[in-house]
Order: sequence, then structure tokens, then C-alpha cells
Amino acid sequence: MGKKITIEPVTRVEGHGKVTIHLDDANKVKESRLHIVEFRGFERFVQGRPYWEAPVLVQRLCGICPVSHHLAAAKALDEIVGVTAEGLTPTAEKMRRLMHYGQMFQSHVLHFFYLASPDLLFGIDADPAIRNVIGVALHHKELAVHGVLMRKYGQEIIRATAGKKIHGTGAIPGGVNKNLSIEERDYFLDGKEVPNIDTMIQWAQEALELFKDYHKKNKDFIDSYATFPSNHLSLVRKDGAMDLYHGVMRAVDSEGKRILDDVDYRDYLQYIGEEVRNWSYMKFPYLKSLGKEKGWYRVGPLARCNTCEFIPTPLAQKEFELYKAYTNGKPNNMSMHMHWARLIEALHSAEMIKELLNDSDLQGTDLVRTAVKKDEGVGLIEAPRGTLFHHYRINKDDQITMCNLIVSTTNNNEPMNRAVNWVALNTISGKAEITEGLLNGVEVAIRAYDPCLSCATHALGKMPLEVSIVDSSDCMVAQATRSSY
Amino acid sequence: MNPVNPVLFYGIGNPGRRDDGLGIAFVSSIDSLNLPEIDIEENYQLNAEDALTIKDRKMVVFVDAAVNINEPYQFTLIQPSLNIEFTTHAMQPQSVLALCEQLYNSRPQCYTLAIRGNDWGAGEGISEPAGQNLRMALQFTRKLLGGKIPIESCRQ
Repeated sequence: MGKKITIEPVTRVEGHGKVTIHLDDANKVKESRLHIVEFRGFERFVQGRPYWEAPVLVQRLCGICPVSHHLAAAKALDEIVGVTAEGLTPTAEKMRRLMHYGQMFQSHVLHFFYLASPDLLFGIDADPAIRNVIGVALHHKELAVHGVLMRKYGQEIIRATAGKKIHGTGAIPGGVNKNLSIEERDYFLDGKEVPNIDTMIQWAQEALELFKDYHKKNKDFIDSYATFPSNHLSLVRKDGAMDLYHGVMRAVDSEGKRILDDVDYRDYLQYIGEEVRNWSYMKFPYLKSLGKEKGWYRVGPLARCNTCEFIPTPLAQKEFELYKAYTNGKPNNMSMHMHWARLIEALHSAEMIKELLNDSDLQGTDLVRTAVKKDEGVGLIEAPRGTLFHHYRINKDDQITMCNLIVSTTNNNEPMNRAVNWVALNTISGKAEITEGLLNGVEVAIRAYDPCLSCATHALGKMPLEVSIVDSSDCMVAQATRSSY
Repeated sequence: MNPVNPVLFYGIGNPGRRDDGLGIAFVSSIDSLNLPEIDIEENYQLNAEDALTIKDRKMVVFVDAAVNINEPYQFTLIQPSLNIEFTTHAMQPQSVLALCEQLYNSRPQCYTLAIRGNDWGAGEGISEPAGQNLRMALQFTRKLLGGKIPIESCRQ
């Protein structure tokens, strides 16, 4: 009898995700799909609102990466008030960058210490009662303490630059509404109240060493698990450097050949299409020049380390050179190397935070610029999980008439489906019994992409985990549910 | 670290999803009272660093919207949970308490104050039924803080 395995929602990712794996009578995988119930109502929600509200409103889209939405919206609205990203005052641009690198640092730290490290430290088939952050705290206390303090550091950077943790108002169209006081700066530098930035850099290096050590001992797993060739897309600085806040759009294929050669992201509609498939609420973006079949691409840390030529901070650059040498300078298509790339970016972010904190422009008072208003603006940013697109149009009454968002997780829709399919075919197909470890193996592949499913409603009791096995006639043959509360 | 007040009300939720913002609305009301020895904190969701936030407190109340309760609000003493089964980017209060105990050898008295919500769609503002529940929860809390209801007598 054929079976369908359903995991709903996917654990350790956000919102509503469901994996469906169809098995035939011999337990061979017929088809696998990752369904994501994407929350698209937001684009309508902002219509009719004054454009200047957007950088605050969009943070309500997501409780995981509100800063990325805040900044992407602000960049789009810079265009609407007639100020290009290059036209911001030095204080405004650097305050935004500090906010962004603080967000990147805390997000990457969260992913590694609390979502990825349990799998690496205890094994993907370990008892789930241990394979979690509490297990890390019990058995690797120092590591867990570092993770907590690194997260806290990044969160406090966000608070200092955005004004508060929820609905920050730091970035406004054309600039920022505050600078960084000397007292705020010293909080992060003097090490009196929180460990200082040099300690953050040191701990980021230690996390990288932990991963590299694990990689040495588990090369087969890390190099082969959910590995497949793909295109890669991200922003890069005009000189080819990694730049997570601003740049031009570059895409390369699995061999490194340029597909998009440093194009202006404001023209993204010329280059990016979105395919609708009848089985998924979430669209499938693709590069128009390659078409729907071949044009899908990855975004995020792996893609960024494939598109950029160098990293403009010394310690991260040293690690980047080791990373690139592993694939002889070619693009890296190994999904589990996403963890490696993410930790290099965490180190880079910490170095950028140090550089910015020591820049006196942050204490400047020239915060906002305006020019001749336009009726349309596009903002792109490299969010922790990948490229994030915001696009707005306004009417003569300054109301938003159109909003189009392509979030990082949507960009990674096809790659995540490919990763699930790889795991299904290579580890589940033909197995007589589907164990917890096998199911977690599916999630390990998804988690490598650190998806954030753009809806942060999380009220008590709303997040059960449901695993269902259904036969070929859609009759439930087994089901397990664990409630979050 | 700066000295902290002994009592913390921690609101959790997303005010952009209607009644999911009940926790944030609650702590905003508490904050406006300017009560002594009380801090408030708010975030979209809890996470590991909140072990640090609660470690020097005597009492912590996590305030969140609830789906599946019958009463307008529910005040519950919680115990640390080492066996966390859910694992999203967010953590549950029981897990934050467990992490606090493991990492900092500290175990503040922690409660959840769950307030029943109705509307989880995109949009701002609390629905009218949820607003009534919020007001009842605030009245309960005022009595609680005034000592009229000893914490120990609260249902576990």
C-alpha cells in the first residue's frame, strides 16, 4: 500500500511549513514537496497607508527578521523621497549598516548555536529530548553561554540603532532619526556591562573552528548531504566585495559563469520572474534569462560566498580564502556548507560592527536628506537568509498603491524543495520503518537554509507538530502530534 | 549589568497580527502605571538570550495571547522544562526558565499570563472581545500587585 508522510509544521523553522513525502507500495519515494503557507496578505495590508509608515509597518511581517524588512523598506522609500542609497549622509548610512550587521550577527548566531549545533553536537538521529538548545546548555555550557551573550550583543546593537526591539523607528525615508551617542557606543566597546566587540570576534572565530573541526571528522556527511548544483544570486559591492547592505545584483551558475553581471537592482523585474505552481502558496522565483526550468537559484550565505570575490574585513577574508580553496575557487554547491558560510559571515559582521563603532561618523548630526519625490522605489538588502526585495508605488496623496515583496525564503523555495527531495530519495526511499532520525534528516536539510516563513503569529497552543502517514488512497495510517504547550 | 527591578512583565507577540499583540498591549498598560520595582520587556517572541533577561529577577510574568483557553485569562505558575519538543526560532517560557537554571543557576518564580484572543489576521488593534479579556487580566494584575491576591494562592 502506498504511503504519504507528512511533517507539519517543520520544526525549528518559522510559521507554517509542511513536508509531504509520497511513497509507493515498496516504500520507494514517488514525490516529495515542501509546502509553505506564505502570508501574502501583507502586501494588501500596506496599500492606502502613507508611504513613510512602511519601514515600521513591515516589521510586523516577521518576528524573526524585522530589521531586514525595516531597512529594505527604508531603502525603497529613499528612492521615493529622491535620495539614492549612495546619497544618504555618512551618519545615516553607517547607522543603518550598524543596525544591519547587528541583525546579521545575532541571526547567524541564533541559527548556529540554537538550531544547527544540536544536530552537529549530538547527531541528527539523537534523541530529540537532548538534541536541542537545552541539551547544548547541559552538555556544552560554555558554548551555550557564548551563544546567549552573542545574541544579546546583536540585539542590543539593534536596540541602540533602531530605538527599540519591537517596531524600531531608526531608519526613515532619506536617512535615520537618531545617531549613536558616545555612551551607547562605549557600552559596546568598553566591556563593562557586556563582553566587548573583541570578545564577540573571538567567539565567532571559535564557532568557526567548532564547525571546521566537525567538518574534518564528518566530511562525507557535510560534503554530500543534500548537495546539488544550482545558480546563486546576491548583492555584491561594485568592486566585487561582499556587501550585505547595498550593491549591485550578481548571479552565477554552478560553475561560476556570470548570469547577471552586476546589474542595477532597481531593474529587478527585468531579470527575475516568479512562477506559480498549483500545489504551493509560495511562488518560485527564477532568472528570466534562463527560464523557469533552469533559472532557479539559491540565496543566502552560500550564494553570497559564491558571488562575491572577497570579504572586506581581514579575519573573515582569511576564512573565506580557506573556504574557497576547498572547492578550488569554484562555486560551492554543498547545502551543509551553508553553516560554514554563515559562520564566516557572522565573523565578518562582528568585524564590521567593530569598524563602525570606531567611526566618529556615527556621532554625526546630519541625519536626513530629501530631494525631488518620485512615485516608485525599489530596495534590496541581503537579509540573513538571503536577498530581500521591497518595491513600492505611491499616488499623489502619498499613499502606497502597490507593494511587492520577494522574501529570502521565497527565493530559496526551489532549492529547499530540491534539498528535501535529495534527502527523501537518498535516506528514506525503500526504508521499511520511518524513524525520528530519518524525519529529522529532512529537517536538517531545510534548516541549513534557515527558512523564516514570514508569519510570526505564535499565540500559545498554535504550533503543534504533526507527523502523518497516509496511504495511497489518502487514508491516515499513522499520526503523531506534539504540542508546543 | 545595570541593576534590575525584582519583578518583570514580559509581553510577547506581534501587534501587526491583531490579538497576537495582547501581550505587548498588556505590558504597555503596566508600563504607563509607572509602578515601582517593576520592569517591562517586550519582544515578538522569546529566545535564548532571555535566560539572561530573567536571571536576576524574583518574579517574571510572561504575557502572551492564547488560543485554546476557556477563561478570559489564565495565570499559571510554570516549571522549567528540560524536554523541549517544539523547536522553532522561538522558545517557550518553560524552556527559557530551564536555560536560565542551567546556565546561571537561577530560578526566578515564573508565571504565564495567557489572555484569550480571537482575531489573528493582519492588522492593527485588539478585537473587542480580546480587549475585554485584556482589561480583566489587567484588573487581576492590579490586585495581584497590590497584594490582594497572594501569588502563592494562584492556580498552578
